[in-house]
Amino acid sequence: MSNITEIVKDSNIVKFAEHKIPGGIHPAEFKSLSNQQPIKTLPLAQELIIPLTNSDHISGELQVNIGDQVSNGQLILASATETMASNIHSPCDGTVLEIDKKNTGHPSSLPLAAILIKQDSKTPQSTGIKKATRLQTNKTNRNWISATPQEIIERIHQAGIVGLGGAAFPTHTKFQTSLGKVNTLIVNAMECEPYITCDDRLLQENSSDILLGALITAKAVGASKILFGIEDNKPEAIANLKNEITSLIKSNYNYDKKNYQLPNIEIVIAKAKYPSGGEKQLIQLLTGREVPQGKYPAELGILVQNVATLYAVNNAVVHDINLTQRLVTITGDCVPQPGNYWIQFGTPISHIIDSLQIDSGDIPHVIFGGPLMGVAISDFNVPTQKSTNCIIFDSNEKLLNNNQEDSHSACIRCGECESVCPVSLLPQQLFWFSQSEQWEQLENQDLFDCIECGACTYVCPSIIPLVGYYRYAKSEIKYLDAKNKKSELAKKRFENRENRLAKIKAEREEKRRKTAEARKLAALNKEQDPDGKKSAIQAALDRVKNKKEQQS
Amino acid sequence: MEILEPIIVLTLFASVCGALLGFAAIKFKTEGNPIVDQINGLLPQTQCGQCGHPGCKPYAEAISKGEAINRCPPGGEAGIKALAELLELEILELDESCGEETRPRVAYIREEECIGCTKCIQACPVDAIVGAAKLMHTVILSECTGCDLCIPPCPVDCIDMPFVETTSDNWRWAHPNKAAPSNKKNDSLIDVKLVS
Repeated sequence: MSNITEIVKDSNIVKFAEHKIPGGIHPAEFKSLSNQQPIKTLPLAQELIIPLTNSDHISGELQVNIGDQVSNGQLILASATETMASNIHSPCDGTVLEIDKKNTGHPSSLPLAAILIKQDSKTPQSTGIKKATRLQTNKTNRNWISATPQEIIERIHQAGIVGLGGAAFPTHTKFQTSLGKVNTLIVNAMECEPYITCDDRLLQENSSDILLGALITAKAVGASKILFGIEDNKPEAIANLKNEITSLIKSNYNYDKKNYQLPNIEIVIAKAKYPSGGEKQLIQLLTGREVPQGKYPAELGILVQNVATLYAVNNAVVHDINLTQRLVTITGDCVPQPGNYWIQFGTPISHIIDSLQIDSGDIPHVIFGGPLMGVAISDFNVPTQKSTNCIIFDSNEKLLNNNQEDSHSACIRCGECESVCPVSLLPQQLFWFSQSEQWEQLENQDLFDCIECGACTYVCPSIIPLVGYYRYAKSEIKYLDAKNKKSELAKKRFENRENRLAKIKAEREEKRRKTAEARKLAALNKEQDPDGKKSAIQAALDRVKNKKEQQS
Repeated sequence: MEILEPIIVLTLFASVCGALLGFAAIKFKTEGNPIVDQINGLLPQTQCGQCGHPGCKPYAEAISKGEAINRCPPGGEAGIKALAELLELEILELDESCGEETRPRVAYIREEECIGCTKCIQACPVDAIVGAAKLMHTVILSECTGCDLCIPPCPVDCIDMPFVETTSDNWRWAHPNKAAPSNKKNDSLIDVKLVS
């Protein structure tokens, strides 16, 4: 790490983080497996499965139909600007074969709506498009300086960009809600989870693009300060980024000074510790401030963006490239050439296995994400999607921290979990309450502040799948809430119906009473005046009387 | 004469208290029976009538008058437990003469067979069926409680009661220490077609 001290020495751009987060763990990193090789591009698969949604609903309008010819980057699902959804584009040239429900890697492994596109091999490698548009002149490079925030956000919306750190939250929505509230952009380059190196590698090779993406983002949301948060285990990335920033500051004169002021840019180095890359943890590390419960970072004037997202922002705004691929770390002891690969969205795992000659014979599942927060996927037809930052092919079945065990030992109340919780919760209490299904107590103990980082599970000597219990409790509480809401609705509708029926009944009673009375009266009249002569005479007399009155 | 003073003071005090209590009794009068509302809040509101009462509220009233708490199949074991806790009664087994506890279900009208007789609309306790005379009817799934009451009046038997399908929206994480419930597809499920 002498390298790091040298980088920081005499620099006013790079500094060490002054603040700390509670808890945290130091798992073995396994990052050197994949962060030493230059980025490569994975050959395109024959058939790509593009997930259209992560739930039961498709929020947007499908732009293609079965049999349609599509080209790389063509819009296939258009979302409205207001919705919490993003556009989806075709990752290749080809033909739409199917629009159907497929297993796209939801933790329940339930099939969800997806599009199957057969790649058209006559056209050249689709990934070539990136380089072709890259060669555009500097003129387009500067367009964003004169663009309004809304124009930039609209472009990001069109390009279908989502948070590529893993949460896949629509970036344009995040920008929109931060607009006018934010003064600091924090770039999340922590990448604290073991095995994952895609952000590290991207910074090593493309830090100028990421920096430009950060400038565009800062301009779009009105931030005057950019902080790069990065762990001290990425010296090459830090050095590279520092050089880029230095040369940018020197070349500030190239920018239109009247219309543009360069934000204040700093790199903040934190000691490697898991999970300092969580959004709220990163803010706490860099600023010493905690995001209040139930609030967003925008409340503190902060917007956090992952480096891969900023790279995509740069691609979208400067090069007009829609998001159809991402850098994915392919690692684990079954991979002969671990490293980072540009992979089109929708590429099935089986294709990755074939093209990288991965020895997948014995492994029951791969891990999407890291070993602490990832999910096990055992169906190798599942495609990569926007949130897939890492796929681990490892022969160690127990590598996935949160994987559910059939049985575990009893809690011995050692308290290890409490000392590592980054949110200062009481994992032990949460476990006991989850086990005894005391939902109200769990909510009192702030179960919903748990970020499911898995640090507690990692240190538990009884190998209790703690996060498994929290997930179970969270979903049970949500289910019961929904059920209560439904029964409230049913109660209201039942009462409304009862009232309506009672009203109709009362009206009918009233009507019946009136007709009965009228009939009774008529019968009475008939008795007194059997053939109606009397009443006829009376009526005639009345008419004459009225006439006389009118005349006089 | 010394006795007079305390008598007057106490009488005055008592009448002031009485007046206050009387006022409070009128001003803060509780409408309805609060225990009935509490019981009703624990009932599942399916309004199915399996307990022998025309809806959940009547059953809640009956319970408050001493009827057994184990006559509600949709509420099931959890419902009986909650009622027992509220009323400080013993936990009972579900009365099987009322029915069995099943997974949640919804009514589904096979629309091509519906003749538009409106009989199911009149039977639905929560107004979850829409349609008009001689026109096709359909069930608003999100509002259906799965009470079965629409089935007997249907003259052409075109109503099914499939179980509610597990989807990504209502899917729940399994208990980590129990065997995971299978996500096997149930035969009686409706195949939902994708609307593009």
